[in-house]
Amino acid sequence: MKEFEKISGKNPFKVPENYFEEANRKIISSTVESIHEVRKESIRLKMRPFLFAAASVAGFIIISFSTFRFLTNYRHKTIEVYTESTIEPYLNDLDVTSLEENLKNIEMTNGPSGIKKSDIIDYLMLENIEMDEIFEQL
Amino acid sequence: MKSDPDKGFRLLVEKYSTRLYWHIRRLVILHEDADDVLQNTYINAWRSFGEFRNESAIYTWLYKIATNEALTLINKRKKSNAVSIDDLGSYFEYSHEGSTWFDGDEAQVKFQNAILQLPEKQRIVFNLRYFDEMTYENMSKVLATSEGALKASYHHAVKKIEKILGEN
Repeated sequence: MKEFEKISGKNPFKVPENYFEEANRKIISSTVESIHEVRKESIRLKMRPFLFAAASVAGFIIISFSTFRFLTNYRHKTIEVYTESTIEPYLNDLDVTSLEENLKNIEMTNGPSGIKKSDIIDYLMLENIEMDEIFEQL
Repeated sequence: MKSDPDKGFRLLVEKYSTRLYWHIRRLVILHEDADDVLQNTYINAWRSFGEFRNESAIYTWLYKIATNEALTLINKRKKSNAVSIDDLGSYFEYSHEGSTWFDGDEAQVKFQNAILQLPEKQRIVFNLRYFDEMTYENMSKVLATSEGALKASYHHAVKKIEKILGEN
Protein backbone atom coordinates (compact mmCIF):
# COMPACT_ATOMS: atom_id res chain seq x y z
CA MET A 1 0.00 0.00 0.00
CA LYS A 2 2.94 2.35 0.56
CA GLU A 3 3.59 2.23 -3.15
CA PHE A 4 0.06 3.39 -3.80
CA GLU A 5 0.20 6.18 -1.26
CA LYS A 6 3.05 7.84 -3.15
CA ILE A 7 1.19 7.69 -6.42
CA SER A 8 -2.47 8.05 -5.72
CA GLY A 9 -2.66 11.41 -3.93
CA LYS A 10 -3.61 13.38 -7.02
CA ASN A 11 -6.55 12.61 -9.28
CA PRO A 12 -5.14 12.50 -12.81
CA PHE A 13 -8.51 12.64 -14.53
CA LYS A 14 -9.86 16.07 -15.49
CA VAL A 15 -13.33 17.37 -16.29
CA PRO A 16 -14.47 20.45 -18.25
CA GLU A 17 -15.02 23.64 -16.30
CA ASN A 18 -18.44 23.79 -14.56
CA TYR A 19 -19.07 20.22 -15.68
CA PHE A 20 -20.90 19.07 -12.56
CA GLU A 21 -23.31 22.03 -12.52
CA GLU A 22 -24.12 21.40 -16.17
CA ALA A 23 -24.42 17.64 -15.64
CA ASN A 24 -26.83 18.11 -12.74
CA ARG A 25 -28.93 20.51 -14.78
CA LYS A 26 -29.10 18.03 -17.66
CA ILE A 27 -30.05 15.21 -15.32
CA ILE A 28 -32.86 17.24 -13.73
CA SER A 29 -34.22 18.32 -17.10
CA SER A 30 -34.28 14.75 -18.40
CA THR A 31 -35.86 13.32 -15.26
CA VAL A 32 -37.85 15.49 -12.88
CA GLU A 33 -38.70 18.23 -15.38
CA SER A 34 -39.51 15.82 -18.18
CA ILE A 35 -42.36 14.36 -16.09
CA HIS A 36 -44.10 17.75 -16.21
CA GLU A 37 -43.91 17.67 -19.98
CA VAL A 38 -45.27 14.12 -19.91
CA ARG A 39 -48.16 15.25 -17.72
CA LYS A 40 -49.01 18.10 -20.14
CA GLU A 41 -48.80 15.68 -23.03
CA SER A 42 -51.07 13.19 -21.27
CA ILE A 43 -53.68 15.93 -20.70
CA ARG A 44 -53.52 16.74 -24.41
CA LEU A 45 -53.89 13.07 -25.22
CA LYS A 46 -56.93 12.78 -22.95
CA MET A 47 -58.54 15.81 -24.56
CA ARG A 48 -57.87 14.55 -28.06
CA PRO A 49 -61.00 12.36 -28.41
CA PHE A 50 -63.21 15.25 -27.26
CA LEU A 51 -61.53 17.66 -29.63
CA PHE A 52 -61.93 15.16 -32.41
CA ALA A 53 -65.64 14.75 -31.60
CA ALA A 54 -66.13 18.54 -31.50
CA ALA A 55 -64.32 18.93 -34.83
CA SER A 56 -66.46 16.17 -36.37
CA VAL A 57 -69.70 17.82 -35.21
CA ALA A 58 -68.55 21.22 -36.49
CA GLY A 59 -67.54 19.69 -39.79
CA PHE A 60 -70.87 17.92 -40.09
CA ILE A 61 -72.76 21.16 -39.43
CA ILE A 62 -70.72 23.05 -42.01
CA ILE A 63 -71.13 20.35 -44.63
CA SER A 64 -74.88 20.05 -43.95
CA PHE A 65 -75.38 23.79 -44.18
CA SER A 66 -73.38 24.03 -47.38
CA THR A 67 -75.26 21.12 -48.89
CA PHE A 68 -78.58 22.66 -47.93
CA ARG A 69 -77.64 25.97 -49.51
CA PHE A 70 -76.36 24.29 -52.61
CA LEU A 71 -79.51 22.24 -53.05
CA THR A 72 -81.74 25.27 -52.44
CA ASN A 73 -79.94 27.31 -55.13
CA TYR A 74 -79.99 24.37 -57.46
CA ARG A 75 -83.75 24.10 -57.12
CA HIS A 76 -84.25 27.76 -58.05
CA LYS A 77 -81.97 27.43 -61.01
CA THR A 78 -83.73 24.26 -62.02
CA ILE A 79 -87.06 26.11 -62.03
CA GLU A 80 -85.51 28.89 -64.08
CA VAL A 81 -84.04 26.43 -66.52
CA TYR A 82 -87.32 24.54 -66.66
CA THR A 83 -89.14 27.76 -67.31
CA GLU A 84 -86.76 28.68 -70.07
CA SER A 85 -86.66 25.26 -71.63
CA THR A 86 -90.46 24.90 -71.64
CA ILE A 87 -91.67 28.32 -72.53
CA GLU A 88 -88.98 29.38 -74.94
CA PRO A 89 -89.79 26.85 -77.66
CA TYR A 90 -93.41 27.71 -77.20
CA LEU A 91 -92.73 31.37 -77.81
CA ASN A 92 -90.40 30.63 -80.71
CA ASP A 93 -93.01 28.54 -82.33
CA LEU A 94 -95.63 31.15 -81.74
CA ASP A 95 -96.35 33.11 -84.90
CA VAL A 96 -98.15 36.42 -85.23
CA THR A 97 -101.40 34.86 -86.37
CA SER A 98 -101.65 32.73 -83.30
CA LEU A 99 -100.53 35.66 -81.17
CA GLU A 100 -103.43 37.68 -82.55
CA GLU A 101 -105.80 34.90 -81.70
CA ASN A 102 -104.38 34.68 -78.24
CA LEU A 103 -104.69 38.38 -77.70
CA LYS A 104 -108.35 38.19 -78.55
CA ASN A 105 -108.70 35.92 -75.56
CA ILE A 106 -106.84 38.18 -73.20
CA GLU A 107 -108.83 40.77 -71.37
CA MET A 108 -106.68 43.81 -70.99
CA THR A 109 -108.16 45.17 -67.89
CA ASN A 110 -105.14 47.10 -66.73
CA GLY A 111 -103.82 48.31 -70.04
CA PRO A 112 -103.65 51.95 -71.06
CA SER A 113 -106.91 53.34 -72.47
CA GLY A 114 -107.29 53.78 -76.24
CA ILE A 115 -104.92 50.97 -77.26
CA LYS A 116 -106.39 48.31 -79.47
CA LYS A 117 -105.19 44.79 -79.79
CA SER A 118 -104.54 45.32 -83.48
CA ASP A 119 -102.31 48.23 -82.54
CA ILE A 120 -100.22 45.92 -80.44
CA ILE A 121 -99.78 43.42 -83.22
CA ASP A 122 -98.88 46.16 -85.68
CA TYR A 123 -96.35 47.51 -83.26
CA LEU A 124 -94.79 44.12 -82.80
CA MET A 125 -94.47 43.54 -86.50
CA LEU A 126 -93.23 47.02 -87.34
CA GLU A 127 -90.65 47.00 -84.63
CA ASN A 128 -89.57 43.52 -85.67
CA ILE A 129 -89.62 42.38 -82.12
CA GLU A 130 -88.60 38.80 -81.58
CA MET A 131 -90.41 36.49 -79.29
CA ASP A 132 -87.27 36.26 -77.15
CA GLU A 133 -87.45 39.96 -76.49
CA ILE A 134 -91.07 39.65 -75.43
CA PHE A 135 -90.09 36.86 -73.10
CA GLU A 136 -87.26 38.93 -71.63
CA GLN A 137 -89.67 41.73 -70.89
CA LEU A 138 -91.95 39.28 -69.14
CA MET B 1 -38.54 11.78 -0.10
CA LYS B 2 -41.53 9.64 -0.97
CA SER B 3 -43.90 12.48 -0.03
CA ASP B 4 -42.18 14.82 -2.47
CA PRO B 5 -40.34 12.67 -5.02
CA ASP B 6 -39.36 15.62 -7.20
CA LYS B 7 -37.60 17.42 -4.40
CA GLY B 8 -36.11 14.17 -3.08
CA PHE B 9 -34.68 13.25 -6.46
CA ARG B 10 -33.13 16.69 -6.92
CA LEU B 11 -31.37 16.22 -3.58
CA LEU B 12 -30.07 12.84 -4.74
CA VAL B 13 -28.61 14.43 -7.83
CA GLU B 14 -26.93 17.23 -5.93
CA LYS B 15 -25.55 14.98 -3.23
CA TYR B 16 -24.29 11.98 -5.18
CA SER B 17 -23.65 12.96 -8.79
CA THR B 18 -20.00 13.89 -8.23
CA ARG B 19 -19.14 10.71 -6.33
CA LEU B 20 -20.96 8.59 -8.86
CA TYR B 21 -19.21 10.33 -11.73
CA TRP B 22 -15.75 9.55 -10.39
CA HIS B 23 -16.66 5.93 -9.66
CA ILE B 24 -17.89 5.64 -13.26
CA ARG B 25 -14.94 7.53 -14.69
CA ARG B 26 -12.43 5.25 -13.02
CA LEU B 27 -14.14 2.33 -14.71
CA VAL B 28 -14.73 3.71 -18.20
CA ILE B 29 -11.77 6.14 -18.26
CA LEU B 30 -13.13 8.47 -21.00
CA HIS B 31 -14.92 11.63 -19.86
CA GLU B 32 -17.65 11.54 -22.54
CA ASP B 33 -18.44 7.91 -21.75
CA ALA B 34 -18.55 8.70 -18.05
CA ASP B 35 -20.93 11.58 -18.73
CA ASP B 36 -23.25 9.30 -20.73
CA VAL B 37 -23.20 6.61 -18.04
CA LEU B 38 -23.91 9.15 -15.32
CA GLN B 39 -26.96 10.47 -17.25
CA ASN B 40 -28.21 6.93 -17.84
CA THR B 41 -27.69 6.07 -14.17
CA TYR B 42 -29.95 8.85 -12.99
CA ILE B 43 -32.53 8.25 -15.69
CA ASN B 44 -32.75 4.61 -14.62
CA ALA B 45 -32.87 5.63 -10.98
CA TRP B 46 -35.70 8.07 -11.74
CA ARG B 47 -37.66 5.39 -13.57
CA SER B 48 -37.30 2.85 -10.80
CA PHE B 49 -37.61 5.33 -7.96
CA GLY B 50 -40.99 3.94 -7.04
CA GLU B 51 -39.52 0.46 -6.65
CA PHE B 52 -36.86 1.51 -4.15
CA ARG B 53 -37.78 -0.26 -0.97
CA ASN B 54 -35.35 1.13 1.60
CA GLU B 55 -33.70 -2.26 1.90
CA SER B 56 -30.35 -0.59 1.50
CA ALA B 57 -29.01 2.91 1.75
CA ILE B 58 -30.03 4.96 -1.24
CA TYR B 59 -26.45 5.60 -2.23
CA THR B 60 -25.59 1.89 -2.47
CA TRP B 61 -28.67 1.58 -4.68
CA LEU B 62 -27.33 4.36 -6.90
CA TYR B 63 -23.85 2.83 -6.95
CA LYS B 64 -25.36 -0.46 -8.03
CA ILE B 65 -27.15 1.19 -10.96
CA ALA B 66 -24.02 3.18 -11.91
CA THR B 67 -21.80 0.08 -11.79
CA ASN B 68 -24.19 -1.90 -13.99
CA GLU B 69 -24.45 0.95 -16.48
CA ALA B 70 -20.65 1.28 -16.62
CA LEU B 71 -20.22 -2.47 -17.18
CA THR B 72 -22.84 -2.33 -19.96
CA LEU B 73 -20.87 0.37 -21.71
CA ILE B 74 -17.55 -1.47 -21.28
CA ASN B 75 -19.03 -4.65 -22.75
CA LYS B 76 -20.53 -2.69 -25.64
CA ARG B 77 -17.16 -1.09 -26.25
CA LYS B 78 -15.46 -4.50 -26.33
CA LYS B 79 -17.95 -5.79 -28.90
CA SER B 80 -17.68 -2.75 -31.13
CA ASN B 81 -13.86 -2.57 -30.86
CA ALA B 82 -14.27 1.18 -31.12
CA VAL B 83 -11.79 2.14 -28.44
CA SER B 84 -9.05 0.04 -26.96
CA ILE B 85 -7.93 1.34 -23.63
CA ASP B 86 -5.76 -1.53 -22.53
CA ASP B 87 -2.76 0.73 -22.38
CA LEU B 88 -3.62 4.12 -21.00
CA GLY B 89 -0.20 5.49 -21.62
CA SER B 90 -0.34 4.92 -25.36
CA TYR B 91 -3.96 5.87 -25.57
CA PHE B 92 -3.55 9.20 -23.85
CA GLU B 93 -0.36 9.98 -25.67
CA TYR B 94 -1.92 9.66 -29.09
CA SER B 95 -5.47 10.79 -28.47
CA HIS B 96 -7.19 14.10 -27.93
CA GLU B 97 -8.70 12.67 -24.77
CA GLY B 98 -5.25 12.21 -23.32
CA SER B 99 -4.16 15.75 -23.85
CA THR B 100 -7.43 17.24 -22.66
CA TRP B 101 -8.86 15.14 -19.89
CA PHE B 102 -5.91 13.36 -18.32
CA ASP B 103 -3.30 15.22 -16.39
CA GLY B 104 -1.19 12.56 -14.77
CA ASP B 105 2.52 12.06 -14.60
CA GLU B 106 4.29 8.89 -15.57
CA ALA B 107 3.73 7.28 -12.18
CA GLN B 108 0.00 7.99 -12.37
CA VAL B 109 -0.17 6.48 -15.85
CA LYS B 110 1.57 3.31 -14.60
CA PHE B 111 -0.73 3.09 -11.60
CA GLN B 112 -3.89 3.50 -13.69
CA ASN B 113 -2.55 1.00 -16.22
CA ALA B 114 -1.93 -1.52 -13.45
CA ILE B 115 -5.54 -1.14 -12.24
CA LEU B 116 -6.74 -1.62 -15.83
CA GLN B 117 -4.98 -4.99 -15.93
CA LEU B 118 -7.28 -6.37 -13.21
CA PRO B 119 -10.35 -8.40 -14.18
CA GLU B 120 -13.41 -6.22 -14.32
CA LYS B 121 -15.08 -7.19 -11.07
CA GLN B 122 -11.81 -7.11 -9.18
CA ARG B 123 -11.13 -3.66 -10.58
CA ILE B 124 -14.54 -2.49 -9.29
CA VAL B 125 -13.80 -3.93 -5.84
CA PHE B 126 -10.41 -2.24 -5.77
CA ASN B 127 -11.82 1.13 -6.88
CA LEU B 128 -14.72 1.05 -4.39
CA ARG B 129 -12.48 0.13 -1.51
CA TYR B 130 -9.42 2.20 -2.35
CA PHE B 131 -10.83 5.37 -3.89
CA ASP B 132 -14.41 5.49 -2.50
CA GLU B 133 -13.45 3.92 0.88
CA MET B 134 -16.68 1.96 0.84
CA THR B 135 -17.25 -0.56 3.61
CA TYR B 136 -17.39 -4.21 2.67
CA GLU B 137 -20.95 -4.30 4.02
CA ASN B 138 -22.12 -1.67 1.53
CA MET B 139 -19.97 -3.12 -1.22
CA SER B 140 -21.71 -6.47 -0.80
CA LYS B 141 -25.04 -4.70 -1.46
CA VAL B 142 -23.68 -2.95 -4.54
CA LEU B 143 -22.10 -6.05 -6.04
CA ALA B 144 -24.39 -8.74 -4.56
CA THR B 145 -21.33 -10.61 -3.31
CA SER B 146 -20.42 -11.80 0.20
CA GLU B 147 -18.18 -9.65 2.32
CA GLY B 148 -15.66 -12.45 2.63
CA ALA B 149 -15.35 -12.83 -1.13
CA LEU B 150 -14.95 -9.08 -1.50
CA LYS B 151 -12.17 -8.93 1.09
CA ALA B 152 -10.32 -11.72 -0.66
CA SER B 153 -10.79 -10.05 -4.02
CA TYR B 154 -9.41 -6.76 -2.77
CA HIS B 155 -6.40 -8.44 -1.19
CA HIS B 156 -5.54 -10.15 -4.48
CA ALA B 157 -6.06 -6.93 -6.43
CA VAL B 158 -3.56 -5.10 -4.24
CA LYS B 159 -1.00 -7.88 -4.69
CA LYS B 160 -1.36 -7.83 -8.45
CA ILE B 161 -0.98 -4.06 -8.68
CA GLU B 162 2.10 -4.12 -6.47
CA LYS B 163 3.59 -6.80 -8.67
CA ILE B 164 2.89 -4.86 -11.89
CA LEU B 165 4.31 -1.65 -10.48
CA GLY B 166 7.32 -3.53 -9.19
CA GLU B 167 7.96 -4.99 -12.65
CA ASN B 168 7.70 -1.54 -14.24
